[in-house]
Amino acid sequence: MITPQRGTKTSKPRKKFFSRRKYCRFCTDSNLKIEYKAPVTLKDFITDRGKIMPRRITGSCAKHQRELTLAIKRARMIAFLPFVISEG
Amino acid sequence: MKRYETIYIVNIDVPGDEVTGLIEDYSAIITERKGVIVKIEKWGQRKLAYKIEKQAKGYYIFVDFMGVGAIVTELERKLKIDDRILKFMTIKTKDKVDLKEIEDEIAAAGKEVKEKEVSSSSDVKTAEEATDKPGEEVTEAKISEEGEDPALSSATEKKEDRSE
Repeated sequence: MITPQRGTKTSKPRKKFFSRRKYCRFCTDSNLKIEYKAPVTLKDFITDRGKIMPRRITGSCAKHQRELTLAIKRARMIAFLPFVISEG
Repeated sequence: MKRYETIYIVNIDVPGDEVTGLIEDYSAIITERKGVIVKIEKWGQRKLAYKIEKQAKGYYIFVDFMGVGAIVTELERKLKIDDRILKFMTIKTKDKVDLKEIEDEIAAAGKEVKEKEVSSSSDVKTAEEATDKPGEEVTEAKISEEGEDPALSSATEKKEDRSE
């Protein structure tokens, strides 16, 4: 079953640069605030290893990315977010 | 005068009475030096994202105040000495604040508390929820996330269409 599927995949012309429209979550939703005290929202902007996600992945605008990095760094300081998540 | 926010994490082994005394001591440092405390919040026990002094949990206390820089240096010096404090952080939220503005805010907060007290007499559960501020924040965040979900789902639908 696996091999025919592979065949179909390669036969189709792959859309290499397909990506769904990214938008800044904080620009679209004014109720959403970037604050180090609310780690729940910040958690969406860190990787599973605890790194800050780049703008090209999250799609947030420059202004809000700056605020995000500051908020994440502050949240790390006060142990709301981890500095690193060590491997299992 | 500037406005600051300080969060400090107290060891959970410290008994409750001692914590209230500790909060009073630190707020005294601010008021003695002509600082104004806007609000003090006990966020209660929270799980730490990483271990501090071999502790996995901590008791969070949040203080919002205004004052001069000397207050911060003294407060942080005292917090550093204290063994019961696991960690602390001070953040400047605003340069140049008017005393009037702050007083208005404190008055407004006082009114809110009074209203809450009134509601508490009728229903105890709602008052408990109202006093638990960090919990409120969490729920707010969740609501806003949910608000965005339809947009996300529509985007994923588009994706599916294209793949077909």
